[in-house]
Amino acid sequence: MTIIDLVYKAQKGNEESFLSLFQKYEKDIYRMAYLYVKNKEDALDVVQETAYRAFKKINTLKNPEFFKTWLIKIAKSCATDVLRKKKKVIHLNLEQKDFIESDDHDLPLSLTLQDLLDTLDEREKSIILLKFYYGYTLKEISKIEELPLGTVKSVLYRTLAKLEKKVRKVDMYE
Amino acid sequence: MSNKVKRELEKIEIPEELHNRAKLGVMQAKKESEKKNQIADNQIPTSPLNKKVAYYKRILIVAAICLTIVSTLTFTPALAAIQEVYNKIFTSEHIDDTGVRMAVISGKGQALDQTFYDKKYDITVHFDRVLTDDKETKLLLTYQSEETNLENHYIDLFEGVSSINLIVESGQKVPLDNVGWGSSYYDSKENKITEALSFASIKEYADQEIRLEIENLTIWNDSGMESLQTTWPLEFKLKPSAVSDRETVEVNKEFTFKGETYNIKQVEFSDLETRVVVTGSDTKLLTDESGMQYRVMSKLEHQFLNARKNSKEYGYSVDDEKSGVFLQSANEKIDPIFSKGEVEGAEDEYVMTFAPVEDRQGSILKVGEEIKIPLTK
Repeated sequence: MTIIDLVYKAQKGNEESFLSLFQKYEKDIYRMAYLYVKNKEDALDVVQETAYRAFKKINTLKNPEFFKTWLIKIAKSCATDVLRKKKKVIHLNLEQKDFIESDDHDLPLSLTLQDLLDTLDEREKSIILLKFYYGYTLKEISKIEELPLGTVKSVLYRTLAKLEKKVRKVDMYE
Repeated sequence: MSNKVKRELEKIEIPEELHNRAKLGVMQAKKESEKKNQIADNQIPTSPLNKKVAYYKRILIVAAICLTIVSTLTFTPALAAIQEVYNKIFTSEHIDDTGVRMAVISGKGQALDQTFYDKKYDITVHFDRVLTDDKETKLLLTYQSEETNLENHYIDLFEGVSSINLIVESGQKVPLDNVGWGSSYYDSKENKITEALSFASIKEYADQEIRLEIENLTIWNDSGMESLQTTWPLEFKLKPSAVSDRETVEVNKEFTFKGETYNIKQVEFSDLETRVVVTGSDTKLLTDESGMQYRVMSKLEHQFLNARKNSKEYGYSVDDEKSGVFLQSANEKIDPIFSKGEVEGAEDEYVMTFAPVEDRQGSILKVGEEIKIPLTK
């Protein structure tokens, strides 16, 4: 059965179809949540809440082929809510400057999970995840994040520079 | 380049209860929509996150009542015990029994929420929940102390001096046998023990007021075994919500593994576990010249235990890298419950215990990589 068939069935209230769909992405959602909340219990809460909200709202999904993107948006919003409750969300002021560089970016070679967890704020984590984990283009990220393309680019470059700096700093002391 | 992020993110371990948490989310959404259809339109939906807060508040109200009634209870331990419930310790991997975790996640069993204060040792015991079926009872509790160091303390019904007794109407004590070893976790920061006790069924007492008494803690230290003499009582009415059924299906299917022939006699499905009962050419008791009988581990048991790993933090769990014996149901791998390793069947039988399955009809026993036997078709 295709993803689109499963979405249609889930929209009719079939929980098994919904769970089969959800199961395809739950590990990704958990890992994404973990990156935000940094602990297992809260990350599991985010997964549960995502399943709860997604099942409740699946009727509002007009294009079943965008199920994955739709689910990622819900998961992101749940993770942000958990952080907000714990008052951990800090958004940096964004420069609204457009970049002309190509889409071909690179990450420092010695990047670690701890760098991702400790160095980046929530928006930066999100853009790095969407770009390098899920493989979305910058245009797609701008739609998911509901941000201008220029802002997405500037956040991405700033984040890469930040990671590069962090890795170099660590290298210096090693 | 994306491989770097992927590689790093894949270092985040996936907890066993992940899919169950998704199921719980869907279940809650479904329940709410059913309620919405049935009851008034002006009901406000509650998300699991908000429910947590509501649950916490409800518990605080219960705590306030307990504080008024139980004069010996001090404020701090009571709040600590409540916090423990809130922390969902029984659904964490510190409890090495998937059946217990799944049952708690699905809200099964009877909530007890009773606190007993053991004044002599300054131990606050919080009875959280009870579940029972035809073959076993699970009693979930925590105990914590500010004065007694609880490290190495256990309610060891299997090899220790601890026991659990049912007090019948005449006042007589009926000892309840252990079923497996149960699960226990010591939190050194809090000096608190979380325990999922596992003992004989009390199903026949459904709808009756009963009294259970836990007697003595077993202390295992380098010099051997010691005891802490005490009695912790628990009185409650065993409600139908605590009781679940066990479905037994005759299988009678043969398979050969490493030159030995095994017969799957039956499979038992319950809310707490799935038991597969097997007899085989090497599961028979051996008798020596003096008439002494020995039970020798069969090749199947070796295979079952091959995937077992043990840690102080998480007890027995599954080593996914290793080959073992598993169930498959609804395309999911169902793990063994290794803390039930000593559950005895009848003579010549070997019992393998797994987590509960949802799709009973579609269950398959997998031995190693090659052998797959449908259990119910």
